[in-house]
Amino acid sequence: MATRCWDNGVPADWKLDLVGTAAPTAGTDDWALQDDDALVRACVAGHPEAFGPIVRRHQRQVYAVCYRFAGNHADASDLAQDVFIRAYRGLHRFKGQASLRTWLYRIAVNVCLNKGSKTRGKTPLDAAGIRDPAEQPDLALLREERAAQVRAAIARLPRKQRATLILRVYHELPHEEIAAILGGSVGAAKANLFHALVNLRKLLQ
Amino acid sequence: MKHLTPTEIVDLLEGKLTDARLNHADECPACRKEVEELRHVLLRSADTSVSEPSPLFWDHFAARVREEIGAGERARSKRFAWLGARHAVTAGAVTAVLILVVAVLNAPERREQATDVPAAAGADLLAREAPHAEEAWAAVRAAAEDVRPEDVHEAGIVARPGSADRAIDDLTEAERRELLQLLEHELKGSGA
Repeated sequence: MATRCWDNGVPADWKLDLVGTAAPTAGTDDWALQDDDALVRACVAGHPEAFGPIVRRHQRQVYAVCYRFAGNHADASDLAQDVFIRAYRGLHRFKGQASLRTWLYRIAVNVCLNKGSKTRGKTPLDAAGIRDPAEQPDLALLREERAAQVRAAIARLPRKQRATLILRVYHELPHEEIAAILGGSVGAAKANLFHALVNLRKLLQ
Repeated sequence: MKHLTPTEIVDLLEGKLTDARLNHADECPACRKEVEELRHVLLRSADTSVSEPSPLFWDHFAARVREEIGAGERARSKRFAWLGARHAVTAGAVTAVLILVVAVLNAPERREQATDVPAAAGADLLAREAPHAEEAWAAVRAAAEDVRPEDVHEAGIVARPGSADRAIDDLTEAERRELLQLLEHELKGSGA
């Protein structure tokens, strides 16, 4: 059975030992070269190994969203894993009206808002950020303190405002895509961002 | 002139506000103050980077996702296989019951003789006429023991409207009396 997949230099054993899954057909070995739509179609048609490149292609963005919500690596990792498992199980419902990235973001936001609600309002644990080695220790400490305040304030925002702020400020998604992810109009997405900033201003005073 | 709306303030922060409204922002101290404060919040929010996991993490992550999906699919396959077997047993038991009931009710020789049999002797009727009937019923009872009404429904086996009426119409006089006795006995037993 030919099951080579993922990109070069990574494990080529995305082979789920499933009952009743069809073997990959010749010509579809190199899944990494396929675009997202083709990979989704392949997965739905019974080629679970085609999901590997989807994970590799989007794992950083999904993890980053989860990290922004969770505030620590362990939870972000678990949340991101859950996002991909849910995505795999729901692939047959993906109609291609939005991009796969948008769809994955939507799942990620839902998973984070639902599962991450237990940690809502708590200060993120290890969200220390990247430290510049050339930066003076005092300045670095001050910057980290200020960043921690911001993260704690963001964690206290209402759900949609928090999601909008994260997607816009940290992921730089256009308002149209944020509206598609969160469900609503572009105007509502902009209003959410405005209110998120207003609330942050209060929380940071 | 109207103050900037929330949407317009966001547009201004992102450099997309129309010139006409930009003029208002320049001339209105309240709007200018609001925009400047929110710009400060926005810049402060944006200045919080997150550390990127090590390159090794991504390979492990992908493997974890793969294993979890595989484990989930295997569990689902087992569950469906078990459900399939359960339905097969249910359907088999119900089919056996139906076949036996129809066979017993439609046995011509039994129907002819049964008209002369007193109702009190109804309990022994099946045993006398069909020597293997008790064993057959025992097998059916054993097979149907664990069958719940929901299982029958899930298996797609449903009684068609009027089935009970037609079955009663097919009974002989003695069988009807026996059925009546059995029903009365059951009703007394259940306290209804």
